[in-house]
Amino acid sequence: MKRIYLIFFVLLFILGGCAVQKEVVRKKPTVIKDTPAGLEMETVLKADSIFSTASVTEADEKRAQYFFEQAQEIANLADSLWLIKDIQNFTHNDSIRTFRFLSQAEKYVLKNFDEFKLIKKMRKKAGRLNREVITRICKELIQQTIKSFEQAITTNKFEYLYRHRFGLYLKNVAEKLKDNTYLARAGRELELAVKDVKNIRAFFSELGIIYFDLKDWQNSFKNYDIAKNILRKTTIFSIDEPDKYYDRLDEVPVDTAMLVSYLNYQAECKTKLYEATPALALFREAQKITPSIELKQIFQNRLDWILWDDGNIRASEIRDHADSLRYLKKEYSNAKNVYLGLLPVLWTKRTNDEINWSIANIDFNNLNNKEAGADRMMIVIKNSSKDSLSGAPVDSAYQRYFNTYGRMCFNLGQSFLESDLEYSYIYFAQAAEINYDGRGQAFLQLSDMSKFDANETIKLCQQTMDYIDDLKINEKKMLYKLLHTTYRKLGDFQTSKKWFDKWKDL
Amino acid sequence: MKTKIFLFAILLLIFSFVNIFSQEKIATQKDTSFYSQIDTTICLYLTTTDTAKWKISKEDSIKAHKDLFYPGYLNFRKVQDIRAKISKGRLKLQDQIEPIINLLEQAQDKFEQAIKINPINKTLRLALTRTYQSIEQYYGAAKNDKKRFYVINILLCIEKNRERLIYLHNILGHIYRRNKLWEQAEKNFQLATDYIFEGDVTKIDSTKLFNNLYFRGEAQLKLYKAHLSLTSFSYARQIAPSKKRYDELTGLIDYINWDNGNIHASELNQNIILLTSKGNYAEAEKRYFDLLESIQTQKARCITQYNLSFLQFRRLHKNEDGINRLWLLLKILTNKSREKILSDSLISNYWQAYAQMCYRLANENFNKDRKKSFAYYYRVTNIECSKTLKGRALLSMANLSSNNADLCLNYCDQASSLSAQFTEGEKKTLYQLFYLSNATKGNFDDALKWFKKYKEKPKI
Repeated sequence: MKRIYLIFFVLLFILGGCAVQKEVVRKKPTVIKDTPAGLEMETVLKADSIFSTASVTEADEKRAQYFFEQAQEIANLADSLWLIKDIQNFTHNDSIRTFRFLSQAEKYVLKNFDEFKLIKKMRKKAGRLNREVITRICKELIQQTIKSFEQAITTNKFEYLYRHRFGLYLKNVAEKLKDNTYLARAGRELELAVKDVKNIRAFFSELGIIYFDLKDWQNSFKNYDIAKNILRKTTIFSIDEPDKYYDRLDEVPVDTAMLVSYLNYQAECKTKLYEATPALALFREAQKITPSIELKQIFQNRLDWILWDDGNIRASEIRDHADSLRYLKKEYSNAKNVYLGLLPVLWTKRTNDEINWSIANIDFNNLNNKEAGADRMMIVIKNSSKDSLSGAPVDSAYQRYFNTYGRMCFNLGQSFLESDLEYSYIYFAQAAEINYDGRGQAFLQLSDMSKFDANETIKLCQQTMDYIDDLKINEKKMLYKLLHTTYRKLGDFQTSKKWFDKWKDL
Repeated sequence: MKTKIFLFAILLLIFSFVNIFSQEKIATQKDTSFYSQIDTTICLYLTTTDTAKWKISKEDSIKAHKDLFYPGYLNFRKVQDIRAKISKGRLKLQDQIEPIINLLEQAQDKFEQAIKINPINKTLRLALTRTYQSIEQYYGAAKNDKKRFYVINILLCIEKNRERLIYLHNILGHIYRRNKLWEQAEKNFQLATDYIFEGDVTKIDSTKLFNNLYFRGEAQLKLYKAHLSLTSFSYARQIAPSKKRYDELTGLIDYINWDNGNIHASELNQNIILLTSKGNYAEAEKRYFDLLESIQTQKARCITQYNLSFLQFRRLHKNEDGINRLWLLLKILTNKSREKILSDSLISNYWQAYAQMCYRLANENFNKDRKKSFAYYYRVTNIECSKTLKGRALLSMANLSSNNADLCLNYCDQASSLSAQFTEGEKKTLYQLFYLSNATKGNFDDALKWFKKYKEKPKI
């Protein structure tokens, strides 16, 4: 064996000796390790420092993608478990599904995560679900998802899709956990994304939604404005034959549904900021653009709402609040107080009258302050413009107030019929003076109350006849009977018979 | 046993060295087959002046004349007849060379026998001399160096005429040249040149002089006598009969001067150029390493390093070796503390080659290792090279930094100022990057401006 080694050594020596001279000559030039061939370390460092502001290596790109895909996988798992958590009637199949998801989840959450001990116990009792445990696991998975997203973003900060998806995920988590801190975080992530990329509409519209949900109207408006601007300015880059629109950029066919959505959100932001003029302009623009009849109507409603007090949005809001107390919660006293508080902030007489009408209604119908209600309505009617001949309101919208006041007086008249005929007569007379939809009844009541004065009765009955169409059958019968008896009293039997026939015909 | 193994090893070592040397010897062996033994007695008979010592009997004299001289003379006449027919166009010289040579050889033989019997006979001497002179020319026409060599050597013993001597040494020089006996060739061309200058210097035949100087220089070159060869070629160049000849000599002078007279290196370099032209790149690379060992001057070393780097990069796909070699060379060439080795224009060419190597490596790494690719492009933009190449590197850098709109636009601006020679495709890429980066920054009006250019159909 030693000989073989020796022979080998000698041969190696000989061959080595022959080769030494050539090898010295063919020695490769000295280079710095890990530095690309032909470049100096200084150059490479400078280039790298610039490169790192614009890109990452292929290896980092792959790593980031791995974290991103992992984040999505865990997020899907958490979503599945979250849905299971809310199942009311838990079946055997649900149980099997749950354990399948849980076994998948086990690799993503910490190994010493105590909940898994519980899961093992649960496994023995399949069919029973501890929702609290599932919730805790879901929360842990959510944290793991966030961690994976963060790793993806840290590894490749230039892939803006990661931040976008992360933002959307946080928004989803905020909704799930009812925790706005996640929403704020989502906003921060997307803000970082749009810092460098200012041409991706979705980033800004998502930010708009997030700020909207956070009630940060200014920022929401601003982001929707940017999204709208991007939509208008960049559509030309993605259409066929863009050169046709070079001279008429305003006519570039943009995504109308998207634009209407942005305008709507912007208008809502302005509404929330009590800036009526821009809100109106935006709603009107949206209404003009949208091809949908339903949307056009919705926008019209919003316009009407803002314009209720001539753009006094705060007043519209307070009114809505008061209406809600009155109609939904039936808290009439509170509603009246809110209405009363609203009166000094109103800008127009029209809305002032409307609120007074509402207060009067509450007083009269709900709080049993009938006279106060009638007094309030009297002021409204007194100060309203009326036709000099008919006494009808000039503004047809006021007719309902006239009707209300008339009915109030009539009702009050009726309520005093038993106790105080004089008071009763005054109210009926007041009602009869009002151009309202029950004026005929008021005249009928006055006619009936004046039956001891035949001439007066005839006169009032004739006035009642002017509103005959408004009277019900019974009221008409009452009128004809009254006319028949009154004319009989006066000895005019022919006329009396005429009315008797009419009465009998009914 | 150990002793036996040791002896075996020593024997193997010796054998390997002997083998190497024997191969080298075979390679340098010269062809001497044309050498022939000269009959010195003939020379003696022809050149002797002391006729008194020769006692010739009358019978011998008659015998020499009748049996030898006369038949020889007849042959000579026959040759004259053939020549007359050739001059009249009835025969072709090429077809008659062999018969003429046979007739003259027979005549020569007779005359030589005769002269040995009667060396003092002037007619016989003259006849033999004329025969030698004549047959030498026919041997030349028949390309028979061996017999011509023999005859010329005899003629050189007897010739006294300067012009004839110039002629004979020139011919002899060429025979040696053809047979690669450079020392003898040099000596004969030297003698011919010396005889030329012995005459009236105002009547020198410049063509003859040029030829002798040229071939003397060539022999000296083959003998690696750089200085002498340069002198010969320089003289020859001064009297060059044509521009072509002048340029040829300039090339030869440059060849010798390539490594300051280190003709071995020039020869090896030439050999490598030949190998490269034949596509034998691996062998060429090996020879380059050998050449670098034998080079004496910095200039030749630098040129060789450049050529080797180029070969490694372009032909052998040893990109890293090639570019490293060139970069180290450029570092030496641009070292301000060292004296200038190469001309500025040559260094500029090397920078251009280095930049192209960097650009090529950057392109190769574009989809594999973008960081490395960026470093190479960056390098191109920071060295002395063509504007178009810089522009292209900047365009690629813009492409790689498209995630950073500001940086991308900066590179686009720089590339745009160097884009005169860009292809339509490159221009499109530039416009696209301009438009996308401006859009990313939210400068939509600028983005539209570049978008229009990007979408514009190329002008035919």
